Amino acid sequence: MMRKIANIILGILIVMLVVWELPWLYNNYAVSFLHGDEIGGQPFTLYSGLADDFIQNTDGSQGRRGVSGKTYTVEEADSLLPFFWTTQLVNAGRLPDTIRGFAVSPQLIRQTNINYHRRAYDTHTNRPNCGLWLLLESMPKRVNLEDPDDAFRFTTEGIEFLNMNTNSLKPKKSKLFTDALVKKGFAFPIHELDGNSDTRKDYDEGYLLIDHNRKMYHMKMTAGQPYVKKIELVDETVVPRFVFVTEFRSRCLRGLMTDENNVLYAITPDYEVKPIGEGIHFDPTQNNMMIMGNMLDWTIRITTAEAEEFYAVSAFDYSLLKSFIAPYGSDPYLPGLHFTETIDRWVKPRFN
Amino acid sequence: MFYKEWIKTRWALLFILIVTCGYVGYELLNFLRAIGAMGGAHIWIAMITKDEPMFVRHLQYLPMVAGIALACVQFFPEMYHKCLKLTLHLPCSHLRMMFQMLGFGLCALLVCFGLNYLILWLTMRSSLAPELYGKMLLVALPWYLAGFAAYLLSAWIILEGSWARRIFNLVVMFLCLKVFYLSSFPDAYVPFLPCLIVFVLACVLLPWISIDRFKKGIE
Amino acid sequence: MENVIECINLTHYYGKRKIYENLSFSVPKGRILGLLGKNGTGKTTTINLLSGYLQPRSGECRIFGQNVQTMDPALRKQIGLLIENHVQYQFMNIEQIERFYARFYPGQWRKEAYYELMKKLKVAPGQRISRMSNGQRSQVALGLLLAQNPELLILDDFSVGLDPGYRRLFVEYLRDWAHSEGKTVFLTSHIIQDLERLVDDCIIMDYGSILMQCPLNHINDGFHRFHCQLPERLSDVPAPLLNDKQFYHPALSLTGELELYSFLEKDEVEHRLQAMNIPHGPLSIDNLDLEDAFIGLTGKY
Repeated sequence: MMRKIANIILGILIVMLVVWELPWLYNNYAVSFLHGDEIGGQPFTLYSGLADDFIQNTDGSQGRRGVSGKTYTVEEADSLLPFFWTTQLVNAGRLPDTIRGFAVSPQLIRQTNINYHRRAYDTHTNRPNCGLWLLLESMPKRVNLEDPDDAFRFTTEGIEFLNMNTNSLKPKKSKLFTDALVKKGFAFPIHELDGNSDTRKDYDEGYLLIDHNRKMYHMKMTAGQPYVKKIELVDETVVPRFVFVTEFRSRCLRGLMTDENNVLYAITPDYEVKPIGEGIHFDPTQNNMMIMGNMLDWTIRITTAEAEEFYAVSAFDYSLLKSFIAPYGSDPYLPGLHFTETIDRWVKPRFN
Repeated sequence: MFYKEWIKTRWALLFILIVTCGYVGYELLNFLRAIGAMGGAHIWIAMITKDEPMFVRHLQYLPMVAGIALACVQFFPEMYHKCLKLTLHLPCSHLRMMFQMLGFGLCALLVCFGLNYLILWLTMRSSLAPELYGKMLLVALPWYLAGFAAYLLSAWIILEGSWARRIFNLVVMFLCLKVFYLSSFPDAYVPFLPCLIVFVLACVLLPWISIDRFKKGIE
Repeated sequence: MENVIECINLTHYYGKRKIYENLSFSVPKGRILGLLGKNGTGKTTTINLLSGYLQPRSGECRIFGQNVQTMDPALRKQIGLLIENHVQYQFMNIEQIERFYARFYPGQWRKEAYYELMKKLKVAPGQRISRMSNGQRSQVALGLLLAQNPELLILDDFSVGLDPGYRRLFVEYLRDWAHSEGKTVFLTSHIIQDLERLVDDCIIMDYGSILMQCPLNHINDGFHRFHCQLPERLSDVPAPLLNDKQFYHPALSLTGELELYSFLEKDEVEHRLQAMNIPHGPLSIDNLDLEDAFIGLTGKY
């Protein structure tokens, strides 16, 4: 009897190892050899407002190609993407003084360009979190931002600050911030939050929060005092799911938000929440997103399991200018058991 | 049976205990030195913001090596000139004897690894919040489970009489242990821990396959 | 008489090589039985089958009426096993090993029997078995068996690696103890002189089967070697001699001397030679020890 059970266990183990390792060996060593041309995503793609086209680096140093089918020389493409190839154009003496009626300079371009990367594995549900965060002083005495001497955690009843040097609670500060949040109607425990505690940035926006009742708040520390602002939604049917702090140099955004239907929103400096591109869908738990933008328009690239999606939106009102969806070709990879995924940090068995 | 296993393994167990606790002590020395040199805040910030296991990194393969070493010390003497025949000839159920031998090894490893954990916990709780030292203990947990799995799988290999089958078992063991080291991202294994524990418990029966084959004279 | 060991229609192969087929024998209670045979005839196979470390292709072994493969573990208290080379736990010393085994045989363990034998060993109390000579190890093994005091002993090649002194000590101790306590012993050895001093019965194995099972004195008293000079120069042993089952391995030397082994009396041998029309000189008869008898029965290589 025991021998049978032991043999069954061994059999199951061997089957699982075969289903794990054989596809892994094939996918990692044979696929690139057999299907090298078919794999790999879209080349670098950027929207040109001047050409009203997505321009791709498909031909290396030979030229560029637009999604519309037009081809461009490298020099033509540089001129059509002046906000990206600024240094090249300055060196060649070809940077114009105005672009689409707006006066530009290299410094202004550098100031207003935005670059934002969001990977699925950065999302809180896709990775372990230790439950402690750092709140920087957003108005430091000196120019540079400084590391704090305390960390905070959210509990079911409030926010607690811990002295990192003595490993002890800071009751006064904890009460101060808890009261400030409660005063604005914040309902504990918290649902979601996002912030950037790296001091290597121009300024600190603190944290964007979603409380237990799915209301959004902005929290930061200014001269040691709590700053809390409730972010109202015009459309009450929109239920926030995730928030992201952006902290662009140009301060053109407070942050980004996705709702329960995975629609992407911008949170403006005036705390208005506006959908981007007439309802671009972005699921932070499954997709990666990259935003490369300038003072006039943004290129949003969303990588899903089925396709790469490119959207061009206006930097002024976030309206959709153009879009381009590139579905993946046939999948040469063998399905099998695996324990890790590129979209999250968890190790657990999955089969696809 | 525990008496025999104790006589066989006591010096090896002492060595394993000293080495594992020594490594833990070394990591804690690094930790305390870092706290002293850079301050607690700096360490907290590094642990909150970095995606790597701090102050337990060097422990990664130690439990696995300890498990394999203990299995070698415990079971190679049984296979020397087929001493296992003496053990199996004792007037006890063979299955019970196997469980007793494995149980001794598992308990010994549990004491060893438990002491490691205790030292880590006692030292770190004074300087770190529970979220942080808990993170470190959770990071190390799959490595310690790998230690138990390595012990049981090594016993399965050593007790096997046929060399061809031993090599096959060795390949299986290598692939199984690989699962415990797929990611050193802190806490990445949290949802998988129950499965890993079940897997380790299931491995307790694998040496029975080797013993059964030994009883049938398969070499 | 009650049989302690019964092997019924044992068949075993190693891969495609047949060791034996439909082998049956039994060992009565209170007898010391030796298993003799050339290399490769299946002695160790039989011991392994009896001790439960080999599964026969077909057939069964029963000890104390129970199938060895499914025996009640408690019944193993009554079976003492000596593994080839007197293998014991290398990492224990003589005190530790006695203390270890004693716990498995409560009520029957005789500590004094063990230490009486250990007094003869010139070893330090804490000396581990791994640091003992073959002979010392054999005494430890014997001491443990005596202390266990089982009803049946199974000994696999008990004399291997021992010098004559230790072998003699082992044989004498074992014989005296077995006879005085009415124990049953089943053993093998390559040194036939030791078997001759020890066993009551023997089983002689040939390739694939049992040649003979009988009391030792049947061989000692009844099996003889005959030799005579043949006047005619013959190149081969005459065919009628080869075909007569009463004669074992007849051989002709270069000088024309005929050698025969048989259980027959001298007169009967004479009579048969004459009936076969084999002219021969005066017939001589030799009494044989067990080793010579074994070679006579099984043949030289």
